[in-house]
Amino acid sequence: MDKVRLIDIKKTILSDNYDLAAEIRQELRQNGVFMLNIMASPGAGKTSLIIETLRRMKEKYHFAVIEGDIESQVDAEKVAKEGVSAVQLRTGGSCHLDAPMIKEALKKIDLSATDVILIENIGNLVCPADFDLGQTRKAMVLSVPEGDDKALKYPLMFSVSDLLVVSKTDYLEYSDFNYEALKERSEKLNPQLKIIKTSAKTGEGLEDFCLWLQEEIEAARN
Amino acid sequence: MEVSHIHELAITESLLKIVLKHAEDNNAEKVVSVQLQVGEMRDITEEWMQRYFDYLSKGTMAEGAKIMIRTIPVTFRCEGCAHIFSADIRKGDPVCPLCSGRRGQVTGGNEFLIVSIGVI
Repeated sequence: MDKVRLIDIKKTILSDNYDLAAEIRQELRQNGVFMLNIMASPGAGKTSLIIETLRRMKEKYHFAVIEGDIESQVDAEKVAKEGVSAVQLRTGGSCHLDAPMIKEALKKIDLSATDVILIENIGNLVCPADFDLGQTRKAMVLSVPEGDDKALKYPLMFSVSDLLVVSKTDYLEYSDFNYEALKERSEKLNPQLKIIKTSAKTGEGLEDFCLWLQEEIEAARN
Repeated sequence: MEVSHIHELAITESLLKIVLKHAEDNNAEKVVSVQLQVGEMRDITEEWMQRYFDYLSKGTMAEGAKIMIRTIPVTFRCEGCAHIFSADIRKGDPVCPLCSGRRGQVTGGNEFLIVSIGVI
């Protein structure tokens, strides 16, 4: 019997995706474009956040949206209604977006005429956390009806995000959602995580989100 | 907890590519094992990874290789006493076993590494 040799690799499992993501990040930096990867469960309010943001900021900056929602044109249509160009990815049964998909989508976006790209990732709190898309920042949206225990159930997502948007805060008064508990859990997983509370219904926090975005866009430009 | 194993499929595709590349670069005839280090936060099921690996590696030199995952627990450093402890975060808020402190920071559990491969 032949002798088994052990070959050292010590490489991250998703190194191919990571290398391509690094390439994308470099391309965005050269063009001064800010790209936000928005991740959440289905129905948490990713599309609403995007639409409300476009309404408030599209006069000031050139936006593009990459829509990753599975087999659906609905979200891209909503974005197009705001007069912003949307690239709809057809992802089949995939549970996440990856860097090759974003690379393809970017071919349809004129980076030299774009300030900011919003990516609506596939609704899922598990898989998208693993895949670097070359984004400048990662944001996750957690809606109040989903509960304050989600940081315990999906810790990776909380630990990789730069921003946590707590959406549907208009539901707070009807639920036992404990915001302080969520905040404490999130900080344990990720002390740098910034948290913004929003409601697309009452408008709460949307200005805060836009301000955060504006600062990031400006920082990417310089 | 949502149970979807498509997750492991995409990851296994990437894994197999790296495994085959390193096996070829080292003039191996056959890959017999793949050693991984995966943090608990990654939600990887060994059984499904093996199943996808068996399927994807058919006809390659990695066919029949055994996936061996060393799971790295989620660990925290207590803010009060600096003790590092592991905790099953899915069962509830981690509490320091030494000082009962509830504040702290994650120090491990999101590893995602191919450590080595065993080849002939």
